[in-house]
Amino acid sequence: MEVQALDQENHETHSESWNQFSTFVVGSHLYGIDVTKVQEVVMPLRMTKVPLAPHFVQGLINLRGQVATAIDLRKLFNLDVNDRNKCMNVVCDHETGLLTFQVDQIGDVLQVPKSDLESTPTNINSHVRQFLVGVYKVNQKLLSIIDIELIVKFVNSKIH
Amino acid sequence: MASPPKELLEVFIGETQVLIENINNNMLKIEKGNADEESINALYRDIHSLKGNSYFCEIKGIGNITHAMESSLELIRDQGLNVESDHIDVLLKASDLIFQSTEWLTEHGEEADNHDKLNEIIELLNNITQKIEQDVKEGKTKQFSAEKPSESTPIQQDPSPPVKKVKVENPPPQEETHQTPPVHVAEPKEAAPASTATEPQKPIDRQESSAPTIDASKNTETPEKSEDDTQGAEDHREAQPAPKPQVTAQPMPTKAKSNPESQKKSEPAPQSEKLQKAETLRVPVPILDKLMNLASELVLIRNQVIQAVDSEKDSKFSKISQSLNSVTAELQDEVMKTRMQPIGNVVSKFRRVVRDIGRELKKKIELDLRGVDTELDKTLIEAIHGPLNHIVRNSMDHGLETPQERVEAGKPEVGTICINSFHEGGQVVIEISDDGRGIDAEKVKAKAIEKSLITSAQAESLSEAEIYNLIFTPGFSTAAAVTNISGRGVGMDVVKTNIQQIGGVVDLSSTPGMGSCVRIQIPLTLAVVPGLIVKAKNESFAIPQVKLVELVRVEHKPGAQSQIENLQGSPVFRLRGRLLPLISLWSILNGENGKDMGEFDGINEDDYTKVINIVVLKADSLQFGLLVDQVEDSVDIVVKPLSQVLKNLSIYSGASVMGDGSVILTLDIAGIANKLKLFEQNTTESEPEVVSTAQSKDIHDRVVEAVDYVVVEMPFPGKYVIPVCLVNRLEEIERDQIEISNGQAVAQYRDRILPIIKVSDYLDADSSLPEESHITTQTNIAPIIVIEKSGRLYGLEVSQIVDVEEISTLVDENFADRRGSLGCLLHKDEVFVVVDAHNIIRSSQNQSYNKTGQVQQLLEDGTRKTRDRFKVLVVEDNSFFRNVVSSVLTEAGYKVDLAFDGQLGLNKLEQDSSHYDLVLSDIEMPNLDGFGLAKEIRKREKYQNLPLIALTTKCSTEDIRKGKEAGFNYHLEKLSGDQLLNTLDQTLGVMEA
Repeated sequence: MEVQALDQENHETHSESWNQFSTFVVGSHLYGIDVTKVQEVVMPLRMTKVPLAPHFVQGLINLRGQVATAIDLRKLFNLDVNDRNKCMNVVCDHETGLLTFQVDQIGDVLQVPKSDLESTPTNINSHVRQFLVGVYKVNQKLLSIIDIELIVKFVNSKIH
Repeated sequence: MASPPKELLEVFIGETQVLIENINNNMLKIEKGNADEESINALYRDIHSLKGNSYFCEIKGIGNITHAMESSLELIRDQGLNVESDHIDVLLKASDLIFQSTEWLTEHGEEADNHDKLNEIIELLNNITQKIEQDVKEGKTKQFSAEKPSESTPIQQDPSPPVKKVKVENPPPQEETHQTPPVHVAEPKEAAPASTATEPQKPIDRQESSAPTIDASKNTETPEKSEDDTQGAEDHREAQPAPKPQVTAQPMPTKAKSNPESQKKSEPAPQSEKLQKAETLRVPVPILDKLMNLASELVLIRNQVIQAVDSEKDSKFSKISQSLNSVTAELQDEVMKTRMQPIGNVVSKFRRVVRDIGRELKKKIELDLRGVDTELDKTLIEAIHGPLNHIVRNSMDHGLETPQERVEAGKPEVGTICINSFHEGGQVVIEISDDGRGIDAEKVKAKAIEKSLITSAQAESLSEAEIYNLIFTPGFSTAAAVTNISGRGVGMDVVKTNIQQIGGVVDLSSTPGMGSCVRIQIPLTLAVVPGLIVKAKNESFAIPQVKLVELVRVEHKPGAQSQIENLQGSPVFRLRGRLLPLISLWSILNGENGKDMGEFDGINEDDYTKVINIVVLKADSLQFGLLVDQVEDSVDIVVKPLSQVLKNLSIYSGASVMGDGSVILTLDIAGIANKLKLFEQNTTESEPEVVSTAQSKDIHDRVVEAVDYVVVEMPFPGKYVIPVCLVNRLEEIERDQIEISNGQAVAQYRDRILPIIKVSDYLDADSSLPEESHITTQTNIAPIIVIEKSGRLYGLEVSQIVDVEEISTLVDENFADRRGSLGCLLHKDEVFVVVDAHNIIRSSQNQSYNKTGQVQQLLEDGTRKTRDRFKVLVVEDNSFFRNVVSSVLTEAGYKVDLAFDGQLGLNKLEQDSSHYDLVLSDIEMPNLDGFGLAKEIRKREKYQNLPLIALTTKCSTEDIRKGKEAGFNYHLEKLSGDQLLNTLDQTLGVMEA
């Protein structure tokens, strides 16, 4: 692969030139989170609602004795939640505690060269854009990369 | 200089911290004179290890200074010399410097650049070393004399005992001359290993202070080691021809029969310590946390397994699951224990603090640590350090007197601060007590008034305990001058806040002249707290039990008037006569203001019985009721912090995983109160709040004496009571015998004129209420309560005399707003208004004073005059009774002084130069009860003949006997003001006019 060869000249190690992303589908789009941030993927679990929390905070789940805060990405992205028939949880170990993101469908772990990252086109929905750090072109699809920090920041700004 | 690898540094730092602590402890031990040879050895060893470590890690600064420390101790160890106080000072400075260097190392990852300071101290140390060398050469040395001469003596090659001298760090002159060989052992009391021959004048103290901690373990080691030392012991015996038998209160009296044997006891102890050290391992805290999490997960899995087994009938599997069950439970227990640390880890650090500050303040202070093995969670250990430090400093600065003052007060010169820790009812209690001057309640009051924390009117009604608790109010500091030890304005309120943050409670008690004691109660571990599970619309929430005051269940019956009232659109509830703001949990969770009653709106539909659950909570001084749909179990919960993304939701304090695997949110009570701005209302009336919480505390905490009341009815709804002790007689007088004379209703009664006062005229009852009952009860007979006031009888007319009831609740004087009422009482779910009979009589006489009874009043004045020569001290903790008795006596003409409890009464007697002619005391009182007071009074020469009268509700023959024994002259039942006055008059010889 040309790109890879090129990259290897520039960088010493393999891992520094490639990024791996856990991918998943929300609505009709493919999103990815840095694979090192993802702890695991779990089936839907019993949920405890958190009154007064923003609407996209679905509740708290018990992940083997640890409490994780569940955020519904569909709701976060202002998508319709009614046509969803199943969901999965992507569990991320954020420094402030466990977060799980409810998504429609889990995809593969994709490896993409770092240099392929393109900044998010400015014409897309600005609400969703605020969570994205960029877009990769993979297999005729576009993979939007989500930064957890941006989500945490947004959620915090919503709670008073 | 190239820094050593990070991992190595971390280990080095960890090791250094431990070593420094050991070094400090040993140095202090040596300085105090209760060190043995092993302490010196251990000190030397630790310094040596530190030196080795430092050079290995190329931390030259620490290496050099430890080298100097080691050198300075070398001769001392080898020759068994005594360590001078100055020497210790320099060594402590050195260890401080090492500590600072280590801190620097931790932060910056490289050696601190403090060579100047280092060199300065190294210089000092070298001087000391040289001096010691010089002394040794010239033979001027002073032998280190341990309390175990059996050990040190034989080891020394010097066969001539007379060379040895005994010396303490600050030697009293007579000790320097101790030259006779037997001196280190001849003192019979020296048998306990911890006591030392170097301070023969106070060996008992030493035994008491240290015996429970170190020596107990040493004693148990004795038997094995006995033979090994025989040689030494024999040598020793030769050196001391006349060993006296040891007769002391030792745990092992058989071992204490002779000197040589008993002295051997302490020897094996260091070995056992060494063994223990070898078996400990340092584990990073995150691993322990992880272990704890895993253990809790295992518990949950176990729960699932057990549930699965229950549904099946496989006996083999059920057996396995049972073992799984027990092993898991044990595992969880043990893992919890790994986080437990002995409280000694923090309190022993205070030895150094006490030493340094004691020197600075020029006070002699002994720190007595007890129960250092008491274990509690690591996070708590860290959290209590600050508050404890503050309290200890306070005690040293304000509590303890200077040696001179102490001697003048007849106390030992050396003040003692005792930190005692123990387990009690699943909690850890830490008591920090001193034997200093105690807290001056009057000073505290004055200060609180000065700082406008309370008004002077409030100050009068406060009990002693409440006054002490003012110290915890923000902005309070009793130190007249701000010193650098304590009194920086951030006073005890910070202590209280910090302790409360970890779910603890602080309490303060004090006996003037005897000392004060701060009692801290904290949970064993933060990890597990008891919580109450409540439900709002099927959602469960946990409330920390510490915030819970009580649960109130209100049954709403169809047709009955709602007990929850609406005030300006907000629900309130009358709880024991006080209005409790109500908040609906569901409404809060819906983001509303909590006023919306939600389901409770249907309260006025009288179609079905509804139960309302009110959870009464307290957030600081504020109490409010939380309306919930259901109150469930109380369970132990492990509160985990909420993720950062939910942190801003102030109404939750965290989440917990329940036994069934579900997650439940924990409510933050203060957060809820804040959110609803309950505090804002509160701040505007914060002053009354202080009083009312104090009173509610009274209701809960204090033993309330039962008082008899006459229950009467008025021509309007409600029950009214008059204390029986005020009532002379109950009479029924025919209405046609009541005449109107000079505008005053009077009746003839026992050949006198009895003014009849209609009580209802003086109770400002709601006049809009229909007076139906008035009409129905209007019969020919008027029930009259005859009350004597100032020697005159008055008749109080009521609608009906119902009963005499014994009621043991305190009068809530907050409701004494109406003329003629003293306050309210709650008894058997009914509210009773206490009629202020004296006040009613007074106001009626103001209207008609000049018209009637002038002759009697004149007669009365005669008695009054003789009475006012006498001063009576009334000691009574119940504020209501205090007021009643004092008003009866004052009305009669006596001079009255009041005291809130026995101790204060005693103080009044002691302090006040003015003379009391009689003491009238209650029996049941906090701090010092009536019996105690009487005994104390009779102990004093000048009060041998002071008349003491017990005024109590306890009047069994046994009580009377006890009272007589204690020194009371009379035992009066709290019954009649008349009888009281008679007794007083007789006792004091007041002439009947």
